[in-house]
Amino acid sequence: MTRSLAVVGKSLTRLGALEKVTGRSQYTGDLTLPGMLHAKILRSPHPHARIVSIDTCAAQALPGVAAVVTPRDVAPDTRLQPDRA
Amino acid sequence: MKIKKRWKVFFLINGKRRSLTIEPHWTLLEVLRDQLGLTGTKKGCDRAECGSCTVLLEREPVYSCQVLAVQARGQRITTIEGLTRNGKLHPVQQSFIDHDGVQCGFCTPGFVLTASAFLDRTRRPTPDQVKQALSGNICRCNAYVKIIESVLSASKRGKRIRD
Repeated sequence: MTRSLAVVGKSLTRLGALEKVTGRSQYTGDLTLPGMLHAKILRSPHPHARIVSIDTCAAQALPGVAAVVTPRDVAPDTRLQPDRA
Repeated sequence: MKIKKRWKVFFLINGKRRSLTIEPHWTLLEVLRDQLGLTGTKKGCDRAECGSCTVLLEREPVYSCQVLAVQARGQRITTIEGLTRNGKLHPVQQSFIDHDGVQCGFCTPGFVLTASAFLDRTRRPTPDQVKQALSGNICRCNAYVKIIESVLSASKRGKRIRD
């Protein structure tokens, strides 16, 4: 059985190559959307520690801050539980 | 000494005069991307390691993350958006398409601009000269073999287009 194939065995130009060599490709960091906010994750400065409390007052008081989100703002049943196995 | 907080400056970007007010701590990269919307110039490392932010300043490749915008005032800047003339691709751009010197494409604008400036100076480069010229640009997809092929092939194409 012989059938001519449209793609197999042919050298094809990569999809999006033109957009990439001209700088028109949009990457996540290139997007701007109406009302777009920027998020910043604060990670623990310690490799192994217990979080005793989180004081968000200073962050909340900064101009332009829309929200400060901590585990307290997340419903309890969706929180990651410590592994007790 | 009084420190100027705002500077009224102009740049000659891709052959067009662009006037704007900038702050002295803004990098050229930030001005291009955030003030002028020229997002073809990429912010990779923001610390002079990767070369994704390469633009041509007075025809020489520079890391735009390491140039303060005020330092570049009044100067000619070419970004990837300015390399295409009247819809015609620069020979280096065409070569990157033909030889598949592109994978994810994030480093591509920087590589293309570095290569175009290099080929302006060096008409018939050896593979080693190409590698040396591109040593300030990093490709995390590891497409180096095809990038070098692309640049060598471009060196055999027609003359470059000047601004």
